[in-house]
Amino acid sequence: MVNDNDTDAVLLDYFSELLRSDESEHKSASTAGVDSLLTLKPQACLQVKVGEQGLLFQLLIYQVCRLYVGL
Amino acid sequence: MKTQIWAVANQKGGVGKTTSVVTLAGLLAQQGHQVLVVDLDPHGSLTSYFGLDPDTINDSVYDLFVNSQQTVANLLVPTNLLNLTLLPSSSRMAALERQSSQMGGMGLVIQQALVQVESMFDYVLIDSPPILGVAMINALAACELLLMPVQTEFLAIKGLMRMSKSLDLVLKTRHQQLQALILPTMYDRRTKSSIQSLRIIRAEFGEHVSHALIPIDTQFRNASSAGKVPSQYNHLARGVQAYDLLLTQLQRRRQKIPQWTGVAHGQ
Repeated sequence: MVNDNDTDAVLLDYFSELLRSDESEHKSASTAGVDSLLTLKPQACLQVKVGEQGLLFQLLIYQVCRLYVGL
Repeated sequence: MKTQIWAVANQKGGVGKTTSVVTLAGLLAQQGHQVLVVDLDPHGSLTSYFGLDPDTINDSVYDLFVNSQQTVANLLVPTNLLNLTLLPSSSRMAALERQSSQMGGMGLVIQQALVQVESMFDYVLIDSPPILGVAMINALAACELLLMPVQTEFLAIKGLMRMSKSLDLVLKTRHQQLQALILPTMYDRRTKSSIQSLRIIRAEFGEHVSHALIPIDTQFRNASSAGKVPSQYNHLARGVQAYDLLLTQLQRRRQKIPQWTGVAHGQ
């Protein structure tokens, strides 16, 4: 059985996600990932600090794509 | 003058949201202010009011949600009333929920978009759909003043209680404060139901209830059929006069409208 507190918690979670300001520079669903990948420059690799796993991963994919399509 | 952004919202439909937006916007435009009305409702009643078809429109507020490069200025449409501009809606707005499940921050799209046109308008009025979803959250996040029209009848009061509770939850996650005013609409002083409902609304929400009562007035429907804002159609209509009174409260006694801090409503 669902009670009021459960409903409130679900709604609060939903609102928090929608109002998250750190991601407020929204992207369209179809281009969000592609945009960030294409705007990366190869030399940015040199500036990446150890620990920024997400960015490193994107750069790795970018480099692989670059080699594959001969950019 | 800093742009004032007002939203009109209620989770219940048919309470007079679009009528409130159109009438207030018309009065403001006729005062000489530059006014933008934003339609966030997939039904597009406000858009239809100004002669556009939300089912076939190409450029609409929807574009702001799916294309981060889209500029607001390219989506604006002049209306037949001087000083009044429309940001139209599209039926495609109904698909927003599906997209937002993938993207945080989707509730701030309108707030950010309006920054682009701040210098162009004195007032922005947002018409929200009667659904607690992405569009309504955008309206609540973008505005500094919230108007909640409520029909003076018992079922509508239930809807107002629900809206009030939702607003409490939204404000827990929102960082700015919000002034909120409940606007009793479709008031008919000849009926016991209207009188009793108004009494309940005032007892529950006190200072948050508008001094103005919007009466039932067929002139609103006539104005809509004629494609004119009500004050353009008949400035002396009693419905228009009631909105004029409301506008006086919003413009001259704005600081007395309380911030919404959660109301001890019966749950």
